[in-house]
Amino acid sequence: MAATGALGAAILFVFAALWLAFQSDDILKRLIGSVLACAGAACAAQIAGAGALTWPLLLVAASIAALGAPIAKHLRDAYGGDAIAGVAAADEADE
Amino acid sequence: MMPGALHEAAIAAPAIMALAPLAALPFALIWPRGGPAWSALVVATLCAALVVAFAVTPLAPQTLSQHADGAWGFSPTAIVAAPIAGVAVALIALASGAWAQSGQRAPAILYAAFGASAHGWIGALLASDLTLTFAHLQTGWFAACAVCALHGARDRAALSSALRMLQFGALAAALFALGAALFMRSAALDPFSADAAVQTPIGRGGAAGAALMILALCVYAGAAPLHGWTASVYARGGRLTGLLLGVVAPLSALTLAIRIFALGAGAPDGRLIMQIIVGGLGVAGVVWGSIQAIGARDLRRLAAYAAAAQAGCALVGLAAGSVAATAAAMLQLANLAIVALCILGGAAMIEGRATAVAVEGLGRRAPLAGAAIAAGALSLIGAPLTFGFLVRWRLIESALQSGLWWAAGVQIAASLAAVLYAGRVLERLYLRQAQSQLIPRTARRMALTPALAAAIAAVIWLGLDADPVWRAARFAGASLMDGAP
Repeated sequence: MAATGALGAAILFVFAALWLAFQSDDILKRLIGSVLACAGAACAAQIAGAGALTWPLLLVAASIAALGAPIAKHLRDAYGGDAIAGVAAADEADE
Repeated sequence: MMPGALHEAAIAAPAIMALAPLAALPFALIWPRGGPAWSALVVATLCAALVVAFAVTPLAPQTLSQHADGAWGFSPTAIVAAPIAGVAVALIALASGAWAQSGQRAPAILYAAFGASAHGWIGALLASDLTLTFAHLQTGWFAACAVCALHGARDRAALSSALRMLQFGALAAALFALGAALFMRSAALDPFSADAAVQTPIGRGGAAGAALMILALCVYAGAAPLHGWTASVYARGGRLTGLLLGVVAPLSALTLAIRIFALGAGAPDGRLIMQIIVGGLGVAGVVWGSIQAIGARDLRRLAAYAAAAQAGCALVGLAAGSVAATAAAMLQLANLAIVALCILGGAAMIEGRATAVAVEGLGRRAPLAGAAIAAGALSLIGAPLTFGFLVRWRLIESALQSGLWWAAGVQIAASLAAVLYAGRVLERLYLRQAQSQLIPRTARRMALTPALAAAIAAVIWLGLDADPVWRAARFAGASLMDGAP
């Protein structure tokens, strides 16, 4: 029963982190949300008995941080603090 | 009778196919210039493609699946998809030389990342357990992110595309892991293990887990409505990224989705849940993707939206859950990959952005590129004498056999929508005066010629005679949907 509760909490945490990753106006918060979602999923996998997936998920979180940090830096340099709006405007110009 | 050496090569083919794209990696570590890494990548992937052509293809599907042991092997679904993915990777690797030879020297790390991504997508198809499958999917996705980000040196928009890929990658990884965890908690076994072939009651939790894994795979495949990353990545993420993620990734991800659908549908409570989820996703994909494709002004964006709609067609076909429907869905995935190679390969000939103006008169300025895009467009519509026609026929036939009239209607609606957007492309290719007189550079034309010629030949040849592929797809369907009508 406790394990089921913990699994439910981990799943809720994952969806909250994903909401941050897709809804935040700040590029860094989006990255942090993405990393946290994977870390939360690693916890859920461990609780559910799929421990073999835990390490790959933590590696995914690390990959997002390692790849995302320099990209976020470049985009902030280009668009300033309002990078998300800048990226969205560039995308709209493409459409 | 097949000679012993060829038979041995066929048995080792999964490992050869999965490992060949990694050949660029050691060269990239030694030389920062792209030439040696590209050469190693091309030689290794072409050799792997030759093994597929001469050793694997002549074997019966049953023979291949009997040897599905070790880290990599041919599962019933991989029998259709893996050879196509392997040949496509070899052709794209060969075409990628165009960028190194056209004055824009590519760094070795670009080819290493491309090879790692190709290894990931092919390895995911052939992996023998869930953890390996997950690890390969992540390798494929994040290495493709790296390829996209490396294009940021030439076009800043590629960086925003890479960032978007990272976000969607996190979404897909989390969904897949949650789904796998729920499935394994319910069934207490690895769904890809040999034991899973035995019908195991997985309950609703397991079916929900399978549904979450399919959602994650739809993200990787760029199937609408989870395709928020595709248009910007295809259009601005670089030609190499577009070809890799447009041709190989959907083939690999949706083939895995078919395998997981079969596992979920095999459960007593799972069949209806899986059919509703897959059918719902498919209909949403066809409607959403088709509407966006009709409004698209850039050829690469159009390819992304059309692929989303075509992926929807495969999912709608799969929803019937019969052997014939599963086989038809696998044919549709093969068609999706070949069409993407035609359109994105043809668009790669265009200098700069593939806007509507740039496409006008391309059929006269670059006949091979024009022919490839036209073949892809006709196959999207499902015109007779193309592979798309035969696939559409099989999808509609299997839907009607299962009594799913709505599914047949969705397939016809997808074809009618394709007439609108693909027809407009054909008109711009051949009936409009060229606004631009730019002719593709010779190096680019030469590098892309094998890929485009092979894609055109596949569209026409499989449109005339798809029996070998259909037999393999039928075997895969019968193996997966054991007991289904």
